[in-house]
Amino acid sequence: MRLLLISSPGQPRFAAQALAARLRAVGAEVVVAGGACSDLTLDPEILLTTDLARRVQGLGLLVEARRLPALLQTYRQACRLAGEPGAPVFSGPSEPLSGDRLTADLLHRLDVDLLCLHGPAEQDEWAELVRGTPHADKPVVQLGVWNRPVAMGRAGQPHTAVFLEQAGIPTGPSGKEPLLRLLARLADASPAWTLLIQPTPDTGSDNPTEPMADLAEQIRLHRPGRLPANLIPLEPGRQDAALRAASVCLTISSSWVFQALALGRRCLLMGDYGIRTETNLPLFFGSGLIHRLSEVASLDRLPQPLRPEQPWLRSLGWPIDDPAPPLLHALGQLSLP
Amino acid sequence: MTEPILLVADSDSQLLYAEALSRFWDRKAVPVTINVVPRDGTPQAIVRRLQAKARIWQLPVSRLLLDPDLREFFAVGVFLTGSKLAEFRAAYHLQANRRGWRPAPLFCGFNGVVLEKFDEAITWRLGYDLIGLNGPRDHARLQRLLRDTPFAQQRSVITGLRRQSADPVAATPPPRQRRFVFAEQVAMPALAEERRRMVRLLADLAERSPHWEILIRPRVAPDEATFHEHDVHISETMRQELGALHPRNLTLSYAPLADLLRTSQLFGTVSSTAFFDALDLGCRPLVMGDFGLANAYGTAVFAGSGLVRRFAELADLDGEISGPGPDPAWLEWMGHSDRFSTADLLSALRELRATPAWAPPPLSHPGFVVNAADLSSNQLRLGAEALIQQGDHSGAASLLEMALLQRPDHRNIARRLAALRSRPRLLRRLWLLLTPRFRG
Repeated sequence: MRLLLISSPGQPRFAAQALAARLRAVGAEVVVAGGACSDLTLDPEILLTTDLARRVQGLGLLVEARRLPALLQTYRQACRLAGEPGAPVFSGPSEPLSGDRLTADLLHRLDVDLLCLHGPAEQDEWAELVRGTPHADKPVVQLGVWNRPVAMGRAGQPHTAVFLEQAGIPTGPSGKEPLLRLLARLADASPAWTLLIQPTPDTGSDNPTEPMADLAEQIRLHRPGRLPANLIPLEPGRQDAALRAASVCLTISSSWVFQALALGRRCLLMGDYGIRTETNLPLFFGSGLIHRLSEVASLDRLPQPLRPEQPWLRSLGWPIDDPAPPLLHALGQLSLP
Repeated sequence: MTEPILLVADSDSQLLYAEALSRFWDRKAVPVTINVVPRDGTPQAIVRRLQAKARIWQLPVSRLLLDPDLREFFAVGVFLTGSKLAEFRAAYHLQANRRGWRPAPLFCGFNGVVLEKFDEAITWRLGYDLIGLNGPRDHARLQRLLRDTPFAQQRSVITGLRRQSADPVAATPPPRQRRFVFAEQVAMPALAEERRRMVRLLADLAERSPHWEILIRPRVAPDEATFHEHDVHISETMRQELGALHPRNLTLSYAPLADLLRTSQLFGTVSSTAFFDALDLGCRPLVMGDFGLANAYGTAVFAGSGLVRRFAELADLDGEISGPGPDPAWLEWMGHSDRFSTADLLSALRELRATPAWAPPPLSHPGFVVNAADLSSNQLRLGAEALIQQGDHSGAASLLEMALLQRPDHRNIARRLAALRSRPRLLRRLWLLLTPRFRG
């Protein structure tokens, strides 16, 4: 089966590449387009008007939800003008979502031919959203948490923790400072540890706040000695390496925590801000990983076990190990007369 | 034996909800007291209207909690915003504990169809003895959030969305006029440009339906304060947008919405809960779908109703009087069904009172955090002050650290935290004396 995947920056691109790898492993021919490291660097808008896009057996529009309707319209219009039916279009959120975030995402994807969801929790919410509407019959496939890395990593280094920083969370211009101070206190109280701060390219942050690395630099410049030496801000884009290096992962709600879980890292999600829609914590409510970091005296005294609850993992679709077979099967069903 | 119930509410919509919940209870057996928490902008007209139906108190929450009569109630319903709900619950239990009386069951609910932030709203409500829900839709969402968590046993009851049906109806109902009532909402849609478009859509519809009277019912009068913020009153938006081109059959009306719904043929809204009142009062509702199905407008909730219309595409209003009504399965799913009633809330409260030793569900479980568990910054600050009194400075610092994460610009929290962190001990004590204590 020949497939074309079009992605957009951030999680969608990472997820598209992970999916392409899985599809190729089972013998599908996959072309990935959109941005660096892709097979085609054509602008997606132009690519969608080409013969290639019309003659594949499946077109994956793995882009941010709000970009989808315009791309879909371009594609369908191009097919109409060419007098060809075009390929079935599949799409879905590239990271697990719940509640308002999932609804907002799915409302942009109502017109695709095959909706790709992660697991049963998302499928339940989808069913409730479209209950009684013509969309209730739309074909849906569960692909599991398909953006996680294929290979399980080795154990991380002991006494190394990584804090996954998000661009727009906490919200507000001054939100990062008390967070940085909290991390500094933890690092100070844990001299045997290295605490890395890794900015993650989360999608959907319209109002990015000042990176903690900049804040830390200012503090180190003006008040040397205020930040402990074992608190180390990293460059953006190093999350893969950082997650492999660390044995513990801390974050408010970065979706890169799924990578950390796949690597077998112990994870703690910060409940200090509450279960708020803005911080995306409702998604993690049942995980059993939410603790108040301000109650943690030092990294030596982290709460245990920092392993996710199994029912929560199941609701996300975690047990679906390989997204390729269900996707290819669902696409095959679509093309049946 | 009577079962007196106290309802505590602040904003206008919460007050109306509290009143609607108690509307069908037998007032002799279940006397209702409504405490209207004083707040700028509470419409006095609503308070006067409630006075005819219930005993009204107007105490601030801090005074209410000290009132000796508080212990006399069979149950207490609390209708406040999330953090205040959690604070009330904590303070009420503290008061009962201090004075040695058994707390009455506390209940809360959702004053309208929940359009957004449901999961967050639930975690503010956890720990209430009973959470009132509007329908099976809310119940399914609650269960999905709580199943497989330590809170799976949280009690809830469906009270339904039929809130108008038992109103006295005249023996011979007045004839319905060829009138279309549109309920304006303050924040749906919210952007000025969208609100101008909404007015234009209604004006165009008025022109296409010349023998119809189109009434816009504003949410508040121009001089009334409201709890939502918006810049321009709808009357001003109409003036700006339509000016001299204002169709004659399009007007504003401040008459009570229920009266208008009893005498009009059609009702329209973007996403107001008055949709269900219209059904109760025999007025056919339509949802304005021109802004698309979106969370931000609340329209996604109505997608399955069968009554979403693009107003720009309606030839006129005549075609909307007949034809299929709302989808019955959807109505039931939302809670608008004879199967659900506020009497079920009373039954659930009685059942709870009859349970020998019910206790508020615990909220502290490792790995699970809920908003209701002392998470508001005021609760954290009060907790920190209590710990300072006990000499537990590191515990107090941890609470203030959390409060500061939530309110990073709050100088007094930052100062107090800095004081707690200062060394040596003598300096810390001096700092603690100099920085302002939080007294709640």
